[in-house]
Amino acid sequence: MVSTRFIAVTLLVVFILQTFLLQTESASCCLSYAKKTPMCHRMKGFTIQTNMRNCDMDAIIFHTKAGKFICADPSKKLTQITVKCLNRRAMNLS
Amino acid sequence: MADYNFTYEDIEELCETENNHKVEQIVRPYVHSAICIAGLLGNILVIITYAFYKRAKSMTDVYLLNVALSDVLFAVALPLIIYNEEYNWSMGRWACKLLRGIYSVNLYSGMLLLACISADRYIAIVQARRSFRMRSRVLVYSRVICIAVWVLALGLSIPTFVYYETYRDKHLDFDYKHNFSVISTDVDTSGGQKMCYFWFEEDDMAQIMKVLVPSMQVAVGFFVPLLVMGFCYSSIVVTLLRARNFQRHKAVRVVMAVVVVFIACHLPYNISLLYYTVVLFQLRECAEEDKLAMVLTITETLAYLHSCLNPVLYAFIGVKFRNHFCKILEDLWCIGKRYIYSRRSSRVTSEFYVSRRSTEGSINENASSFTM
Repeated sequence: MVSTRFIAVTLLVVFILQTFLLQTESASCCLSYAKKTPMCHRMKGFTIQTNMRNCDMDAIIFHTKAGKFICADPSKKLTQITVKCLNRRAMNLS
Repeated sequence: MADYNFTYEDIEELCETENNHKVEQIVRPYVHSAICIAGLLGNILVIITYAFYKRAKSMTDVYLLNVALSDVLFAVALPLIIYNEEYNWSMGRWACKLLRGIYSVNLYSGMLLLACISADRYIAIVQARRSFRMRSRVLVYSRVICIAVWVLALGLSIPTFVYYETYRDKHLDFDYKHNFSVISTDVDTSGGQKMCYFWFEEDDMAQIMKVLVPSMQVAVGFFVPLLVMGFCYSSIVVTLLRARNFQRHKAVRVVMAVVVVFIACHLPYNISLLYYTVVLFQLRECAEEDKLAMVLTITETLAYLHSCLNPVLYAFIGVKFRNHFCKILEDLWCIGKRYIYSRRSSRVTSEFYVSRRSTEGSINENASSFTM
């Protein structure tokens, strides 16, 4: 009886340890905006960050050809111009 | 602005909170698992004691049993949450809602029940006369209060049940409306980890709930119980100190331990949570965010710790309870240890029988309501 209990506890410990030992990816968010809006030709594309998901502010995330992500203020005119430019590029692709 | 050259220094990039991540990787395997195991063992022992050896007679008994239940549920939910966070929420959408919901319900019920225990002790010690008259109805009251606490906890957790969803964490919400993929393929195909978090359809609701949920947690899940406990236990200490009894200091020490541990475990987390809620929608630096996330991780761990300290602070500190517990140990496997335990428990007997004796004649029943 004692040994089965011991095994049960050990199994529990092993299971819990194994669960906790794995790695997680953390979420990443834009927290403030780039001062300067990057130009369209440097960009591969963009995605949208909204307050309605895990991040807490709205942002346009530009993906540069250099593989970086740039946070831009969606209310800025220049940001919208770049977005439109990228949209046009996407339309032309299809 | 437009005339200076495009350099990477003035670019705001996505914030990854790397340091917090490192802390999480240390805290989760070593600390959280230890807390879960200790919490499970301690609280299951409390439940077993009540189930088989000691009928829940007093109000405090009923509360303690419910605290233990809440802590066990928490200790079960926590590893499952962490498991799912590792494995893309493989248990699915309902597991996300349910586990997060259970977590929230237990947070509220646990804290509110501790406040109920302090109120019950306050009535037993400070309002001794009134408690004497009420005694016959006590069990009914305590059950009604417990149900009320659980219902309240459930009600406060409704936003969690409703607004938590699983979705891909590409750190980005891909713009599906336009249905194009300007996005570089390497980002898109990696897909990102699935996460379980707030998901709203409207911006207004997001703004309200993202502030309301943590604010309620700090207010109802911490400050209300803190105020109740502060008032009740300080009155108890005053009454105890007025009573002439050589054992009162022991009782005061137990009260102090309960309060100090509660504050030490929960104050840091709730202060940081409050700060987090205040700066939530503000523009901020990544380094700052990383630090804040780190502080939240560490202080949250401290708050978790409370769930495995509860059995010690409330149940096993009580003489009667320890006696029952020893009986379990004897029955289970350590008949040989009987001698040691019976000696130890007789030595500390009647820590809290003291207070009642000093305020009013009847001893036994209320002493058990003040299981310390």
